[in-house]
Amino acid sequence: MLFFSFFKTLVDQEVVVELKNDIEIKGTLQSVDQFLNLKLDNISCDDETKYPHLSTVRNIFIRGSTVRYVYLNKNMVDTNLLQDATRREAMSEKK
Amino acid sequence: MSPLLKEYLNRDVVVVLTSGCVQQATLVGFDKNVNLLLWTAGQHCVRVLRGSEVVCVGLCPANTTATTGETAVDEGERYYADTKNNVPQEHLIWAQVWNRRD
Amino acid sequence: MSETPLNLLKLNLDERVYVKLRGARSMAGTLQAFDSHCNIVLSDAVETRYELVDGELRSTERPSEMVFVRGDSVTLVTTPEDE
Repeated sequence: MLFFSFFKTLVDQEVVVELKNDIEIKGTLQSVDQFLNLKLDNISCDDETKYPHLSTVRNIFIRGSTVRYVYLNKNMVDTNLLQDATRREAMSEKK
Repeated sequence: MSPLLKEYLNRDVVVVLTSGCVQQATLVGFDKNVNLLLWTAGQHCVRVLRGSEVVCVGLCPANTTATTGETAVDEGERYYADTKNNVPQEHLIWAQVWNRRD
Repeated sequence: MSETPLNLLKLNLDERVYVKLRGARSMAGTLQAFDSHCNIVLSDAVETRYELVDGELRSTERPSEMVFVRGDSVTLVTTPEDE
């Protein structure tokens, strides 16, 4: 649940998602679910001619399993909070 | 249950598949595995698309519909790379990376 | 006192790590978060993509200030030898 919570804190921020098929999509993170499926609004691609089918699309649903990276900005993340949350998550999973 | 696709219901969508193919249709149903029920006007049929095949689902703007075919797609064509990321001879690449350290 | 491998990664939080990825890629960065699926967040990261051009190793680097890496791409997490 750590990353579900993490992505929820990033809602309304602009992110760049790189998919496993090398498509790169920039957009505002609109929502996320427990599978880390993402919904981006107001999307743009760095090279629209490369993705002709997405050129008119502004709102996109991305299946979490096809994500390779999500690029973020430093100022979106409280790293101390994130590290603490990671330690707590690691504790709670230890049976 | 993923409600993320709810606002795409009964709207025209562009679906990119893991194979690199693209489909354009009307979304009439979905479940938590992102299995999709798609209706295509031209083919007069509803079909199920397995969630495991889905990369992303783009919402077509209201004024461009799949039926008017403004961005017509050939469903057999592989427009994009697949998601497998198979790099031929990846082991040889790592061997060279390893050797380069000396 | 039995620690799982992933639990030991806790000790590397806020430290530099080297992550090997599927598809002839690797990423070095400061570990900020991880979970049991090996989903990872790195800061001040550099991704390296390798390819063979006529048997010759080529690499391209891409820096990013903060990046989420999905766990299913991760094959190895270790500490870097030197940077």
